[in-house]
Amino acid sequence: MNNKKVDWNNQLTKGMYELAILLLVSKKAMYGYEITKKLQQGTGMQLANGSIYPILRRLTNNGWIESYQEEHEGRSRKYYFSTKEGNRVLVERYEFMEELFGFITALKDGEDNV
Amino acid sequence: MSDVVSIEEYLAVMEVKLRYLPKKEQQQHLNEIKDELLSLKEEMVSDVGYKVESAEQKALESFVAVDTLAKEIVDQYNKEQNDYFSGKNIGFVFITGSLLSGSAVLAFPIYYGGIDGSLAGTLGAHSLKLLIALSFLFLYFPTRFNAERMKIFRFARIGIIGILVIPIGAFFLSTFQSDGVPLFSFYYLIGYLIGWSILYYAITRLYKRAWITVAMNG
Repeated sequence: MNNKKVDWNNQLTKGMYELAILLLVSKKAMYGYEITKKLQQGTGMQLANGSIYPILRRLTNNGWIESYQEEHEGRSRKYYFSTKEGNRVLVERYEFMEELFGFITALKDGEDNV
Repeated sequence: MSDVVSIEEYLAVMEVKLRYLPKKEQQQHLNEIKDELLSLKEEMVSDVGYKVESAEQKALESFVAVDTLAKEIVDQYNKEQNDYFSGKNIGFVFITGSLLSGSAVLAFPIYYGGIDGSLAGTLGAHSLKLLIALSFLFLYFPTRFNAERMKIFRFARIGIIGILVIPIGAFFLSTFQSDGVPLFSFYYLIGYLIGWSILYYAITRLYKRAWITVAMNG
């Protein structure tokens, strides 16, 4: 992959992490490593192990996710879940992304009324 | 890729780098990172088939470098601190600041043992400021709390407790300097403590209610 393509992919996926995390934790409470593994399964998500914590912190401070601690095999594990506000933001962003994708698709297909 | 050779070392370096964060927050980060590193190590053994000794090194190699992660966490923390005390919350910071400074200045007569002309002017100005701050806090903000304002409010609540050092310290200083208990200072201190208790009770009630508002909105 050339550098320009990597840069573009990185820019695009950067904004998608928050949406992807919100999507995951809106379904069930998940811990950091579990979320990272899920994101790494997606082809476009090149998230390094450990890089998720600043993003989770940002989401927590925005009031979009909350967490609770649980003991797991003698160590403390933090589970994240989405809040009401997080779910609202999720719907809003998902709709925007769909709209954007629809617009790009329409441009590609050459529709006149976009 | 990381230069550290063990998970313990990674966490020790991280602990040093996160030393400016509040202790609880620092510990939460360390716990999470430790959990992920140990999970990775376990996976390297069970799924990839590495031996336990080399699995730890492989887990560290696949993990973001300690310097990079620590910098991201600290940068994020600094940005949040700047956000809390600037922009849209500046009004709330001013209100809570006025509350604290007003409460502090009102304790001055305890030290001076009386109120002369210039002190009366200062007290009047700060009493007015305190009154305006309380009006905004109890009449304007109750329905406008959010997570950021709650953090500022928490600091202010701790500050209100800390302010008690001023009247009590002033009373002891005044007593020490006058070789006896100065009656004005004593009665003023009693009055101040009654006023402080009412204020603290009201603020604590507001603080608890505000959490409900934030929870309902979020």
